[in-house]
Amino acid sequence: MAQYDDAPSYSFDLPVDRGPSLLSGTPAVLAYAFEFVKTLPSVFAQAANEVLEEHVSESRERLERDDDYQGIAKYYDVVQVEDGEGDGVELDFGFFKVPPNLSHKPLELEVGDAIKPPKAFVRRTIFKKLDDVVEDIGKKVNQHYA
Amino acid sequence: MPDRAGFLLAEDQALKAKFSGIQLVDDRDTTRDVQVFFRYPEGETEKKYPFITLEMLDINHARARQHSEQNIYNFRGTAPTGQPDDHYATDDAKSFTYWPDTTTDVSTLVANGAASLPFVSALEHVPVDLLYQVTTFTRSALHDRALQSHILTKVAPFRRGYLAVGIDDSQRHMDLVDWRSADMVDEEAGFKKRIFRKVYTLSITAEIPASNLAGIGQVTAQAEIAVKDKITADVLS
Repeated sequence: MAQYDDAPSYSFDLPVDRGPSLLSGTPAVLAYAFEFVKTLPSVFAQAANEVLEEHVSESRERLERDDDYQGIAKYYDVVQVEDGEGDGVELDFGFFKVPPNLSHKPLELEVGDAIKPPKAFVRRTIFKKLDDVVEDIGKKVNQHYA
Repeated sequence: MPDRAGFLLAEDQALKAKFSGIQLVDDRDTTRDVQVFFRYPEGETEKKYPFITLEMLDINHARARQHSEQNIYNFRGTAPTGQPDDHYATDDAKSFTYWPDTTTDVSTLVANGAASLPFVSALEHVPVDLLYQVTTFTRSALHDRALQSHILTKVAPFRRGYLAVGIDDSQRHMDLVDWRSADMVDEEAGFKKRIFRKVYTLSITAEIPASNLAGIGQVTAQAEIAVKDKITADVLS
């Protein structure tokens, strides 16, 4: 809307670097949008951490109740790995920092051997739970913004 | 061998067929057969390297492929008297021709208490993903590499893998989702010999019927109306 009867509804002679304002004609809401977008990475990271922490703790509890996995349950984790280009997030599900005397166990249980069939906990978790984890992260992000 | 009918039975048979018949070439034998077993062969079975084992790991409800609940229909072939054939086309989105792991022609199945009725109906099948582990065991690095090459290019290539299930003539998606090395030492040889082992993880699409097949009759003024009762007729028995 024009500020004065004979004035244009927007001004184009103000320098662009003065930032958005009603007078310059740049919608002020853009400034809020930019601020909002700036918070996305940190809110997403926080939500992802909360959901993954919950997933890891539930999985460890489940593994503790399994005779085969009991000894290595506390080493189950989800870690972030760099994708090489630095702009993506790749998550690795598995057993990490397992001490040398138990280091054979994760692979042995995952793929099986001549005596025992594969229990495949990691692969089954990824196939069964990954969608839930992704969905939960989305919900958590919404909660944070709410 | 005749095609085996039944959920998992049909897929198992198809997967075994897919990995059977592989021959490796080396300086001693130009047609070295690669045997295929379900699970690691028992002690009584003489193991001839190289060989392949198949194991099912899991069955997951494929929620991404699940539609809202709806009925699907099939027409048996002859339109009821006085009705034009084109009212009974079976080529729309809600028509179905096969029954998972059972037949290619659902109209040949006897419907639930209504074998002579012109239409059959069912709830849409439930999509699932079957997770399989395929493991190759070889004594030499050359066999290991040759098998790996064959499987990755001919049997389960990335992006283009498929599984032909004979009994219902369906072509399923068969995705290679992971492969890794897992070499081991041979217990039976006193831990003195190496076994080269590769582990492939495959995801295969399948469907499970959600309801019984039911017959649907034409509504007429006098005739008995044989519309199915969803509560009693659809429940899987």
